[in-house]
Amino acid sequence: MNRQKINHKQLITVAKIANGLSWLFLVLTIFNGLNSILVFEPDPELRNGLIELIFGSLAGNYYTMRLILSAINQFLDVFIIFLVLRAISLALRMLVNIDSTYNTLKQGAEDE
Amino acid sequence: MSDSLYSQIHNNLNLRTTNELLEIWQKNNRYEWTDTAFEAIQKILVERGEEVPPQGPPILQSEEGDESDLSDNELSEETLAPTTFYDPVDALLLIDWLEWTGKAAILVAVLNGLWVAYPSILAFYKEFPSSDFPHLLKIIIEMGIFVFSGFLIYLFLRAIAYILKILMEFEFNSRGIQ
Repeated sequence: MNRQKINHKQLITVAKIANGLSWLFLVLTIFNGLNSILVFEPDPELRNGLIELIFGSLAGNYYTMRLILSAINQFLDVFIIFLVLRAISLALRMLVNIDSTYNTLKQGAEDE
Repeated sequence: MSDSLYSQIHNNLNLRTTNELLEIWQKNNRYEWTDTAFEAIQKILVERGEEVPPQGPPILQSEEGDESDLSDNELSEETLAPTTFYDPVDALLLIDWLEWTGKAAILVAVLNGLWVAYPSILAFYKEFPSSDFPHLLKIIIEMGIFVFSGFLIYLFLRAIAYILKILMEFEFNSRGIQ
């Protein structure tokens, strides 16, 4: 019985860590992305794209399209990692819930 | 109430026999069963070609003598089955997000493929019809790699969504949610 409780505790801890990391990862990546655009000098292609995006027309500009696609790609990658971490956290919690319910029912049946 | 949850309740109830469903329907125990469950039962009975009989007076208290009345809102919350360790609404939301992100990954991969292959496509049309087969093959491979990678991400995310759905189903059944 003790072993079972310890396992649950460990699983919930891992689930909490995964959930916390997912949010931390998302927030840090967004901040890092904003920081690299606003504070640091981006690479020339990115800079040209950014200038064109802000001041120029979107249509037919190679760098602008590249910037947009690159940004979407990066955000998608980060978002996928975020979702996977959350899914891991949730799956662990569900498993603990299933096991916990099973133990309760088993205990009830044994008591009867 | 999300469609996913409704369909999950519907699917679970659909596993029961018609007699069981009729019994639940007529007994009309609103303490044990939620409004959504009754909606699903009615729909299943109609789908099975059964005549839906009138319901008995609603039972709003536990048969064991629990006297706490439950409002409609509380019943809805019960449907969403508050669990000790996770929130089913969060789970359904995450499953939706996984599925949509998978689709977005394919779209982005196609756009990337088009963008990367764009110079080759342009050259191909400029040189057409003198352009040779390897040139065309190059375009197809360039685009194919991106589309394939997008499809792999899509499958990966769908698989995770399915694993979560199955786990949720297990968890749902293990509680005997009605």
